[in-house]
Amino acid sequence: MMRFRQLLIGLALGVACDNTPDPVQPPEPPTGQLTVSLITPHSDDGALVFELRGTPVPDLVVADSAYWLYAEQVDSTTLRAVLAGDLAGALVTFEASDVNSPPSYTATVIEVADRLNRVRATVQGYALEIAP
Amino acid sequence: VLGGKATGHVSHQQDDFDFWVLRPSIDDTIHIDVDACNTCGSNGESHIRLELLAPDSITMVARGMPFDGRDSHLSYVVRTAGPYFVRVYVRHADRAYTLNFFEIKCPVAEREPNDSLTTALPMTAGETVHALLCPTLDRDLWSLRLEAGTTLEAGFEARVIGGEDDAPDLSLLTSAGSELVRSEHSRSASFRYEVPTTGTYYLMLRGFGGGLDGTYQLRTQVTGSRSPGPGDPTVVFEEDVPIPVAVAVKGNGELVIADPPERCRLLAHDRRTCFGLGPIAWDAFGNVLVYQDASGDALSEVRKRSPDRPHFKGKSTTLIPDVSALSLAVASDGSIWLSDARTRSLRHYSPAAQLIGSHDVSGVAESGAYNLAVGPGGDLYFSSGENIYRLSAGQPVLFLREGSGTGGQLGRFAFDVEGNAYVPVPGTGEIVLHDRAGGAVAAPWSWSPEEPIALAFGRNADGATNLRLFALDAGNLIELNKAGVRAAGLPRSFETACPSADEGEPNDTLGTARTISIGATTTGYSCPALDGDFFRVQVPADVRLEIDVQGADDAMLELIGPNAFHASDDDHVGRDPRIAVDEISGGTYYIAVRSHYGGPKSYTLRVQSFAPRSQPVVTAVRAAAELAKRGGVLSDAERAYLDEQGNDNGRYDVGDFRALLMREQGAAAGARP
Repeated sequence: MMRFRQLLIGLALGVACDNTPDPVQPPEPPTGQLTVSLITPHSDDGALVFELRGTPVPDLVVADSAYWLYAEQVDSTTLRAVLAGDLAGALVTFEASDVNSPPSYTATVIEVADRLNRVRATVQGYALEIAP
Repeated sequence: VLGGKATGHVSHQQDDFDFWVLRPSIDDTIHIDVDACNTCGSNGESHIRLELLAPDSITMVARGMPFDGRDSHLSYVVRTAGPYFVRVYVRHADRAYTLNFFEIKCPVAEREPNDSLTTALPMTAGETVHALLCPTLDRDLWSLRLEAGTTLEAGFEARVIGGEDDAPDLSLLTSAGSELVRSEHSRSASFRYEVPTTGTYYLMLRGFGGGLDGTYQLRTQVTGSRSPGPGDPTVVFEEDVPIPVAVAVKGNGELVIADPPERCRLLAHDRRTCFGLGPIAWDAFGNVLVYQDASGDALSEVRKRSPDRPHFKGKSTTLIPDVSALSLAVASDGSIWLSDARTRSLRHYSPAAQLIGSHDVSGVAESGAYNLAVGPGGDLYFSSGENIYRLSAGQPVLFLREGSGTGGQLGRFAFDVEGNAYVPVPGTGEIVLHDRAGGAVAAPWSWSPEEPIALAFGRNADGATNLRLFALDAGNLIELNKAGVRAAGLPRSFETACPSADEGEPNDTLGTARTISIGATTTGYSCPALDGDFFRVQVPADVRLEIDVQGADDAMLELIGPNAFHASDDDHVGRDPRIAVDEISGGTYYIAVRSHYGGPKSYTLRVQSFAPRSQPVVTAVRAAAELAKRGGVLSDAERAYLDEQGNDNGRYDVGDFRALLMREQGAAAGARP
């Protein structure tokens, strides 16, 4: 908030005084890696379909080399992915322009199968957490 | 110094620790005994703490344990030379204390140790003993022989070092150590116990208020010489049934208990299968009828279910919806009686659960009929809690009035084939026997139960009842003395017969499998429950084999290979089972047909072979793209193929994708997919 107020003051000064120096530029948000982690009521998840929303639509990288990933951008803000393996914890990572604002990305579990290839009757209790 | 004394004072407010130094020799035994406040509170926070530290002044080698009330002591044999440090502190008080650096022993009052079944001291019934609980946590066991039919009165008075929470309690144990009765925690308490079986019993006194002055007086008195009833003594068949509700015995002798915390217990099998919360019964075809919640919390329907079996899990289905069942009973003709609390009526259903009639009993049973039993002549009997009535031509006729040798509320009663009624009376802990006219024949017939609430006769493997009589009693399932049971239970057996068609019973093993040919259609019945119909079929090599079953109630299908290995199965509830195998190896195969719910409902088995069809080639990438794009990538045939090769649930999903991926990765690794 402090940074935002300083920016507004700087902009106001810049507009009011033509001979003042250029306004102070805001610092670039820190770039880095965000991780999508699985919160699950089960211990034998074997595959899932999930959606990741946010801009820009990122490139996903599996968090475990034993995972198998297929991802498809389905519109300007949405990526839908199929991930298989002995899933637990961190699933995929991606580069984000501002790792301090992970809420700008959201992820949703659509369908899950266990390790005996049985599809779960419900995804209740499932969630995906996005964090640096 | 060892052998000496020291005094001091510690305060919790100043985080005060007192340290004392001892310089013992190797092999000396350090004894330290605290005298401070042996009656100080039972909250564990206000007594003196005592610790012995090693020569490094850091490592604690011994800690004071409660010895005389809350005052502690410790003993330690010195193995390493050097100074030892005694640390004294208190947490929530100011305390003056004395440390005795010499051994203090408990006074000798009775022979110690006597804190186990094997070291218990003998006493005779009627004897009073004077003894001591010392140190603080001491417990004393006394053994005594008691005669069946007598009543033991046992009590104690104890000097308690501390508060009421530290007071001891007295327990009576069986010869195996199981607790039969326990008094309250008190300085003085007693109990009575009617002895059902002659043998050795144990009295155990224990508490937290023992110490140097923890004396007690234990007294016993034996009165009466009541003769055992015909149903005495009882034996415990299953322990630890926390909230027993109902018990029923199946046609093969298996027992099932409704026990809400466990929700189920199927005895005679190692597995436990979940059943309901209330009344239960076995129907004429070997299915379990249970009353349970339909939607998670509302109790509102009777369900029919089958037990677990290899490859298949027990399932249940609604049989009688929208009722509030207080009790269930199945007549010899297979018809089902149900007491409905909502309408305070007795409802009568066919074996297939079609309503035959309903009888209002609100005039004699204000809250509905609690217990149902099929009695002589196939008549239904029910209790209002106080009285037992016979339903005659749809009208209740008084059979047994409250107090007719029973003296209180009546539990779930049972009849034998001679018409005798075995009636549990939970309030008196007795079971009373009445003849078919309602007269008391033996009151009590058995007095060794504590709170009998439900009776059920056992059955032989052929389904006929026998002389075994079980009862739910105070957290246990007990069996009454078989020698006292006058006749086998009612209904003796069920008159309903399972029909048979093309399956040619018996065909319930691989050895008795009936031979069928490919292309044939076979009709059969999965009846009774657990009935398996086996068929043998010769299959040529490299064909596509398709097997399906239609009809019956949730049929199950299993394909067994030439070497008797389990090849495939289909157990999906809600649709007819089907197995399809491409390019099957030739040989003799076996097909097993079962139904989750056995009964007189026929099924049709069809076995067909076809030329092997070409299999679609689908890569994992395309299959994943189908899921990610939500369609438009695969054809209908490809989706159907992947489902069939996957979890075969009727639609293509992420489980089918995973199955494909596993096959693809297995093939890439050189393994068989």
